[in-house]
Amino acid sequence: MAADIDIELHAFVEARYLHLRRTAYLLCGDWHRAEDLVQTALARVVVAARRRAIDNLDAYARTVLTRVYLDYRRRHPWRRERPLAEPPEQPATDGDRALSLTVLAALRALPPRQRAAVVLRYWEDRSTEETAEALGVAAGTVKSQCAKALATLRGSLAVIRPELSLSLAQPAPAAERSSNGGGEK
Amino acid sequence: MTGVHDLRGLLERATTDAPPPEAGSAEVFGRARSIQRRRRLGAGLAGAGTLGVLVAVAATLSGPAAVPDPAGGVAPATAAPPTTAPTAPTVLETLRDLLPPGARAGQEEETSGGFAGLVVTDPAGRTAVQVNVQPGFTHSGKTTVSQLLDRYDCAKRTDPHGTDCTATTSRTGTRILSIDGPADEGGPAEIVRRQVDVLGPDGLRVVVTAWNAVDVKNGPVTRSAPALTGRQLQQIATSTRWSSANAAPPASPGGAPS
Repeated sequence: MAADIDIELHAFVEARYLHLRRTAYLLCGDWHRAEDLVQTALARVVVAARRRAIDNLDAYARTVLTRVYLDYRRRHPWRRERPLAEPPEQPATDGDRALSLTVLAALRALPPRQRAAVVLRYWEDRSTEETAEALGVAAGTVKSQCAKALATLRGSLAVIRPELSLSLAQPAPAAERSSNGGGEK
Repeated sequence: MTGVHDLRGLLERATTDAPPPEAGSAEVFGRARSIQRRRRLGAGLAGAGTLGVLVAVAATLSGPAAVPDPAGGVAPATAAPPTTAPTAPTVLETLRDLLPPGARAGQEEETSGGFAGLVVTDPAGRTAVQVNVQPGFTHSGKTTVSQLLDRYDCAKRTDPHGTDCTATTSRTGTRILSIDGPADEGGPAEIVRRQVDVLGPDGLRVVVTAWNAVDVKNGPVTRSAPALTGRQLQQIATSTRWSSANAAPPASPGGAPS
C-alpha cells in the first residue's frame, strides 16, 4: 500500500516538477528560489499524501506551493520586494529575453498576494473559486485582487512596452469555470 | 483574443528561458524524509524526557566512553571510506563523545540510519543538536567531490538573508561549509541555526547543526545563541570518528538501520 502511494507520488513529482517550477518562478522571480519553493512544496505534498488520501494531488500541490511562497514572504520581510513606484527601464536586449524581463518586472511591481492571484488565475488557469481556496480568501477577494493587479500590470507595461499594455486592456471574463480540480497542462 | 489570453501568453514567454533544474524527485523525497525526521525529533524532544533519561543512563552503563578526538582533524585520505550510514545509536554515541567539555547531552532522538539528534545543555541553557552522516553522498546525480563543490559554494546557496557563510577546503581535500543565521524552519524569526557541513574526498558527508532552541520548528528560543560555537561544530564534523562510525555499531538498542 505504502509502496503504491510512493510510486504514484514519484510519477506525480516527475510529471509536474518542471511546470510547478515555472509557476514558482513567476511567483518569486528567481530560478534558484523557485527551485527551493517547489521542492519544499512537493516535499510537504509527499509527507501529507503518505499520511492521508488526497483526492487531487495537482490542486493540492498548487495550493501548497502558493502558501509556501506567501509564507516565505511573510517570514522574510527583509526579502520582501518593494513594489516599484516606477517600473525599471526596459533592458537593452531584444526579443523574447527582453519581453520576459519586461513581464517579470511588471509582475514584481505587484504585492505578493496579487501576484499569486494573477499567476493562479491566468497562468495556472484556475477558476476564481480554486484560486480563492488556494489563497485562503473569499472569491470576491480574488476578483478584486485580480482587478487591481491587472490595472497595475497595465500601468507598468504602458511605461515599458505600450503595445503590451494594450493587450491587457480588456477585463477578465465574467464567466467562470466550475471548480473541478486541477487540470494538466 | 482576450486580454486574459494575452496575459497567459506573456507569462508563458516569461518562463521560456528556464535553466535546467538543479534537482528533481530524488531531492523532493529527500526533503520529505527530512521533514518527517524533524517532526519525529520535535515530538520526541518534547514528549520523551523520561525516556531520554532512561536511555542516557543505559548508554552510560553500557560501556566506557571513547576519548574525544582532541585534534578534530579531518579524515586522512587513506582511511577506508564507509559505504553504509552508521546506525542512529552509533551516531548518538559518537556525538556524545565529541561534545566539548561543559556541554552535557540530555534528551536524545534516534531516527533513521546516519541521522540523530539530542539536547545539549550547558550553564546558559538547552539547545538542540543534530548530526547527519551520509557515506557516499550524492546530489542530483553528482557523485564526486569536485562535481559537488557547487553545493558547497556560498555564492551559489540560497540561505535566508542574514546568514553568514564561509567555505574552505582543507589540505586533504575536505570541503567545509559553515553557515550561521536565521533557522528558516518556519518557527519564530529569532531562532538561529548554526551548521557545519563537511564533505570528505571519500564522499563522506557529515552535517552538524545546533540551534538556540529545543523545538527548532516552533520555538521558543531557549538561549541567545546555540550552545556550540562554529569552531566546536567544525571539530565535531571533521572528526575522524565518523569515518569508522559504521564499522563497530554499539550494543545499545533502538537503532534503526537505514
